[in-house]
Order: sequence, then C-alpha cells, then structure tokens
Amino acid sequence: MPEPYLFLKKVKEYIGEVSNVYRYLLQYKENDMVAVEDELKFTESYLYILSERFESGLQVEISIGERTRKTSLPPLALQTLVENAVKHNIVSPARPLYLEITDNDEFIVVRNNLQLKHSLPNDSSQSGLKNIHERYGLLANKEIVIEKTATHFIVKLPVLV
Amino acid sequence: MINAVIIEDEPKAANELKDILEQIRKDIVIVKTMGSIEEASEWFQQNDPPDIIFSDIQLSDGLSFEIYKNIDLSSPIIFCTAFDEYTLKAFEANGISYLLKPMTPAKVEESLRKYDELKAAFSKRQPSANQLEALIRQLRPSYQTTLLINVRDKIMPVKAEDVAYLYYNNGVVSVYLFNQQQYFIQETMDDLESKLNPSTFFRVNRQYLIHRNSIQEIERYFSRKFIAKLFLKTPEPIIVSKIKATPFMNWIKESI
Repeated sequence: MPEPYLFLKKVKEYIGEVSNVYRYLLQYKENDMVAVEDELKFTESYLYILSERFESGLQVEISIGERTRKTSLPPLALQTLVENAVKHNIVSPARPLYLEITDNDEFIVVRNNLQLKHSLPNDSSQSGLKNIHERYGLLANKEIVIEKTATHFIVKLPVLV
Repeated sequence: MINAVIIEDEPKAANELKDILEQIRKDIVIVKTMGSIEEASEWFQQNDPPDIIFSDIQLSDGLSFEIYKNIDLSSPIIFCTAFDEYTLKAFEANGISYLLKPMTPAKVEESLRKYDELKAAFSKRQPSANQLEALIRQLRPSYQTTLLINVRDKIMPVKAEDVAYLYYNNGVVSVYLFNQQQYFIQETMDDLESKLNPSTFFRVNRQYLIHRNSIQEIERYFSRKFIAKLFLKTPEPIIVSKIKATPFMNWIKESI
C-alpha cells in the first residue's frame, strides 16, 4: 500500500473521475446528440476507472483531431464501444487488451485486438451495438461500420457534420 | 496451517482479499494468486489441491466455473463476486460460501467460520489413528496372562507362560508348572479355557488343557486319535479325541 498521503490523493482522484461519469450520465441522458469533445472527456473518465481495475491489462491510445472534436454523436456511443471491448475480450496483465480510438475524415474508429473470453456473463444480450446502430439510423440516417478480422474488432462511427 | 489459493483477475481486489485474510487469520498461507481460467487450470493440474479456494466468478478470460467443470477438484470454494446471479452454479462447484463484493473482514471471517465448522463436521467421521487403535484393542479380546492360585491362606500369582498344563480329575483342577510344581485352582476348566490365550493353550479333551511348549511328541493312536506326550509326566496319558484331532494338528502348525 502506498503512503497514506498518496493513497488519499489516489482515492480523491478516483472519486473525482467517478463523479465525472455520473454527472455526464445525468446531464446527457435526455439528449439526442452531444459534442464529441464532451463524450471523449467522459470516456476518458470511464477509462480511468477501468484502468484502475485492470491496471496494465488495459492499454489505451486516443488520437482524435480538433475538427472531429467539434462534431457530435449520440451520447454514450463511444463509451458503449469501450465497455463492449472490455466485456467480450480477455483483459489481463499477461494478455493486455489494446484499445485505439482514432479518427479520419469520415469516421471515429474504435479498434481493439480480438481475444474473446471463453464464456460470457449471463446478461450479455448483444444490445449495445444494435442500440448504437439504430440511433445513427434514426438521428442521422447513417450506418455504422462493424469489421471483424482474425486479429481485430473494429467499429466505425460516422462523423456527423 | 490452511493453504489457500486466490483466483481473482483484478490485482487490487486480490490484494484487498489477501490483506483481509492476513489480518483476520494467522493460520492462512496464500500459496498462489491467479487471474485467469487458463492459468488456474494449468496450476491445479500440476499442484496439490489447496485446503480452500477463494474464487471470483468473472475472470479475465471467462467464468471461473470452467475451471471447476474441467478439473476434478476436492477443495472447498468460497466464491467472491459482485454479482448474485451465480449462486446455484456455485453450489454445483464445491461452493461452501458466496461473498458479495465489496469484501469486508466480517464477511470473510463469517465464511471462514463456516469452513471451520464443515471441516470439523466432516473430519469427525474419519476416526483418527488413535481412535482406530483403541477400537482394535477393544475388538481384540485380551487374555489372562496371570492365574491366581490359593495356597492355604495366601494368593499366589502364576504366570500363564509358566503353566505346562491343567488337569481335571474328580471335580478338581490342578495346575502343573514347567518347573514341576503342582497347585490346585478354584476355576473350572471351561473358564480357564476361555480366559487363556487359545494360541498358547489347547483343550485336547475334557481333562487336559495344555501349553504349546509342553508338547514333546504326538503319537498316532487307534481310530484316528492321537496321544500327546509332554516333557513332563502326566497323571494319565493325554488322548486327543477324534473330534479334536484335526483342530489340534492345525493348532500345532499355526504360528503364534
């Protein structure tokens, strides 16, 4: 265990990030759309919590350009993809999950190495991706792109201008 | 000492449990902490089963039940999880307790108490080596090693191993010792036969109960009887009856 002072600092930090997550959930749950910038900030807080849990088992790289940050997306779309990646794949220091969040002109791309768990929790209803897909269809009449290769799982969210 | 294994994929949770265990019990040794089905399956195949397993359910590569499904483990398991939806499955897999996270020392202590109780209850049915010995002693009849003989107004102990033979005649039982001495004894031949070790003494007929070491030779007699000749003189010849002939010969052959 770290020094009491450092430990306390860590706990404050953790609670701060948890409250960010809750504030965002309360603020935006009624919204149809949210700025990519805000969703990113929220996702970073969520990733902080996951990193505390998985430690070196979860490796994340985020690289989103300024232009894309100003666009919008349905709230919780990005977070849901992160949650899915962690839920379906092995996340352990021995076999880390590498998660990349990047962008190009057309898409926000969430990509992770594919190392599926042997068994899934009972509550896996596969509703996450379906929900995102339907919201993009209804709100923007756009299709999200899902790609599965032998080694990677990739979801592309259209950048909405 | 209780050898324990922790199966938990989140390092912080594993440490937390380890801290709690070390804090509440001095007799627990955590021999291994593992985070995946793969790692645990391999470890259990190569190592002796621990006394107890603390197991999370959702591991990095799936549900821990897969470990217990594929490996025949006898160790009791205390499941530690944030979900209460797996209780039935936990019972199918040697689960003796189900701890819901977050863990507290009180909860862990409670489940360990259950472990102790179950252990005590089950070990009662397996008698200890001492208990078994006592039982064997009880079942094996013990024979008299000393006879008490009244000589006038005194009581004299005579070791059974010093008795060459016992002889019944006219309602009186005499004890003849290897050292040629002779005494009378109050007990009946039937009593003496049952009290003395049958591998040492044999009732060859109504009149004689003889010590194995007193026999010098055996002669054939008519109609499949024998005459036993002793190193000592006897008041009358010892005729081994037809019925006793075979058991007598078997008794002589058998080792003590």
